[in-house]
Amino acid sequence: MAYGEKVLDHYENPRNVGSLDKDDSSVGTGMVGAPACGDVMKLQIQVDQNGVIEDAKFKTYGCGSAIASSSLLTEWVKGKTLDQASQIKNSEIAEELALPPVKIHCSVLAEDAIQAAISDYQNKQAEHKKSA
Amino acid sequence: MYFDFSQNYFEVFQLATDYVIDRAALSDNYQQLQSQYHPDRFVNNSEQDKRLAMQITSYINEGHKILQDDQMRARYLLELAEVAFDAEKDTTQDMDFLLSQMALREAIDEVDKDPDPLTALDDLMIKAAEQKKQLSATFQCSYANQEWAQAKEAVLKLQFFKRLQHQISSKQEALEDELL
Repeated sequence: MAYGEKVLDHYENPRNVGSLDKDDSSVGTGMVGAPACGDVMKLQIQVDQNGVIEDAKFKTYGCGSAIASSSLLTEWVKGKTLDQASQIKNSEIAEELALPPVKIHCSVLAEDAIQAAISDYQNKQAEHKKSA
Repeated sequence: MYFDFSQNYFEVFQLATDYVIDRAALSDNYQQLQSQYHPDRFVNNSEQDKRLAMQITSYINEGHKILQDDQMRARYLLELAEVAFDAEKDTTQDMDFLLSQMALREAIDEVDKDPDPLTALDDLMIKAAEQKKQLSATFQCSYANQEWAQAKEAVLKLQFFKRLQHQISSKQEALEDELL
């Protein structure tokens, strides 16, 4: 399948690949998998005291579109508040990368991953407050 | 020439519609049907017969492909039970499962550092096969009890193992090429 230019760019030069400490209370980790293709995606965010995402990292085992979707998303969420980040829709990712219909699920995966990371962070914060 | 296309694939191969199948019977019946309907046998027949032979053969081939693969067979059983799959929306969020999948994939990347990478890959393949076997057992049990949600989850998880085994094999081939 022919990949679009932007997909190739992110695939060949993925941004923000790596890991953050998942046990750190300022880090939210989202793990999702796409059974359609067996892709696994991990997306992590580091949030400052004002609820702004300072850093984001990802690790994706999947096709070019899945890698590009997560790479793009980490770029987008940096500097955004949790609220803003949670409003990113998979359709925006798909549109930016010009994903073909059969690869739309890769952008769905990325959206699910950021949602999961945000809720993991919020759960951690709630726990933190309870124990404090 | 007559063929009943309303038969499901299990019926085509005269097997019970179940997850556990008689593989020898599948293989025997496949060969028998293949030779019975092989398009080569109908070269002198009418165009209509030729077309029909082609259609039957492709139905048989597709059925064989699905039934011999554990994950595809499981999924097909659920489809027969009218359990819906949606490739765009079905995602897995079972954290423990995904962490272990991630770890297995990282382990594939790390065999390069292993002094004996091929053995390390064999070990991974065994590990993956064991976990897959457990999932198959889970599916079998849920399917028998008509617990469709659990059965579907097992089918979706089996897909990750399929991908994983494929990745391990590709890595094995790449390493073997290097060693040659």
